[in-house]
Amino acid sequence: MIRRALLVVLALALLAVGFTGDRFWLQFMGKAMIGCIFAMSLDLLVGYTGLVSLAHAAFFGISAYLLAGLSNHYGLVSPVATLPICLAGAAFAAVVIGWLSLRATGVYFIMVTLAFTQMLYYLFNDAPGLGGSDGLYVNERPFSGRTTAYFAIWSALVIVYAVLLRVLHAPFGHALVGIRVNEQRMRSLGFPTPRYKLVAFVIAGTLAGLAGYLDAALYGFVNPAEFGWRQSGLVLMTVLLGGKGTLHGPILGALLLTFVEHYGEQFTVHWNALIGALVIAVVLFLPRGLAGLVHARD
Amino acid sequence: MLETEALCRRFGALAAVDGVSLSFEAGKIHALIGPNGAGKSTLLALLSGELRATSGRVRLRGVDVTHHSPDRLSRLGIGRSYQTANVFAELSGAECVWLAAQSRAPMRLLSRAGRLPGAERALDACGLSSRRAIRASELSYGEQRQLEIAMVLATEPSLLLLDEPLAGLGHDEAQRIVALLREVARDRTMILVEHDMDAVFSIADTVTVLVGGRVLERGTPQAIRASRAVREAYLGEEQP
Ligand SMILES: Nc1ncnc2c1ncn2[C@@H]1O[C@H](COP(=O)(O)OP(=O)(O)O)[C@@H](O)[C@H]1O
Ligand SMILES: [Mg+2]
Repeated sequence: MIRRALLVVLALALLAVGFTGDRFWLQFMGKAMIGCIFAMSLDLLVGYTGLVSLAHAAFFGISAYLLAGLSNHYGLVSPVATLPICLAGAAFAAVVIGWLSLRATGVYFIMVTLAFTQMLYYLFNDAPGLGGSDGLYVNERPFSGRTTAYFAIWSALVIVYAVLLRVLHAPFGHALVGIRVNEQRMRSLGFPTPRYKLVAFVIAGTLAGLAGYLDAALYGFVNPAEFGWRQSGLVLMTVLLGGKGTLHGPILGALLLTFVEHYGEQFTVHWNALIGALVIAVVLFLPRGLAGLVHARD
Repeated sequence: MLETEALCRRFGALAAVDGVSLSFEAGKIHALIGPNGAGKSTLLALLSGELRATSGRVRLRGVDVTHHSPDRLSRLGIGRSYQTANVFAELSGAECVWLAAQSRAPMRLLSRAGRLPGAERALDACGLSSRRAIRASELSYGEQRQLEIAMVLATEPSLLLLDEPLAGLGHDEAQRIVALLREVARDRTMILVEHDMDAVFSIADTVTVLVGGRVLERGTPQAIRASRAVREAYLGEEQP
């Protein structure tokens, strides 16, 4: 109950930021909310299904680059046209990468997903037509003005939260938890678990694509670092920091990391080390992440 | 109902199941006995698709299912339980059974998980209705074994493979499970691996004795009890 009330307050506060029109805060909180969507989508795999994927940045990046390509080469800008195409691109990539990497399990799955992320990073980094390591500008952005983009991001966050909540309470979500706990048992009960895992992977990848799309729309800029393992690792840390296996955990983690990243950067160039220290502290002292703090009072 | 033909499974040099040809008639309780390491669990794993046969065939209702996956065999009506209780510790008893029943429905992403009549029947049949809200990990060992059977029943199998359902149970709990098995077997076929000879001889229609991965003898409980070879090779160990 407390948790739900806190989430509503948080959503309203984020909505209120949209009315300030303040350039910095719109960009800053917009980025934080994109981080929330990105991390929640990964938690569907890590926290619920028990799949630690390092390919998540790939879907973020593919969708972002698709938006740049559509806008720069085809003059397609309107979200009505570009959003479905970018999401379909991310979903397609997730089908292919998921289909191949889910043949491996455990640490091998992690390695295969990492390999895909690296492959795409070098592909985009080394292709001059794609802007190389400098990245690309999105000539015309799908949302006119920062405030519109901010409200679009806010709506996306609310919708993604609601959809994931629904999915997790549906039989499908229960089956994912069953797979995490004991996949062999689920198979002998008749669940085609490879198919369940692939569907979860594709849902998560598509939502990561949504985050990438919103990111490119907000900043008007894409670059190959979005594909990198660093980005994949950071979103995994976000999930662990916030608390895996919950939806509000990744939200808390993403908000916290956005703040640490921004203010840490001003405070020290070694802010990465700061995040590292934070993760170590949380893993040691709060095994259920920041979400564990909310639960304790629930 | 189910037939095996020269079924073999090797682990390196060891032939855990070594040329087993058996046929299991529908509607009967078939017991599988034998000393530890005889290959009973391995045989069940071959029948349920969890292990791949090194050679030989398995036929279900005349159809070759040797290389089917466990989930496919489950949807064809083969349900199994494990030698150690293998329930979802984090979920409540009712949730475990509901989850099992969901395996028969198509993948549903958005609809609410509701109560399913099959799941309710399975809970009732296994005497767990009053314990439904308790986490599986907090149930007694005997109740976990009942829950294990309830989960399998919720998938509405026509053939049950049970691996030592009485292992580790006290006398009263074992009695309860035996009564449950009798009830469950009324309209199903059952292949039962069990060490408790009293239970086996009281409920089985046929008994197959497995030693060193091979079939030593097969017959009615009376015939097996009377068999000298079986007594020497196996029963003798337990009744000196
Ligand atoms: N996964 C495995 N790897 C290697 N050897 C195994 C494996 N599973 C079973 N075995 C061996 O196969 C033989 C039969 O085992 P099992 O089928 O469990 O016997 P039972 O259930 O009759 O006690 C034993 O010698 C056992 O050590
Ligand atoms: Mg065994």
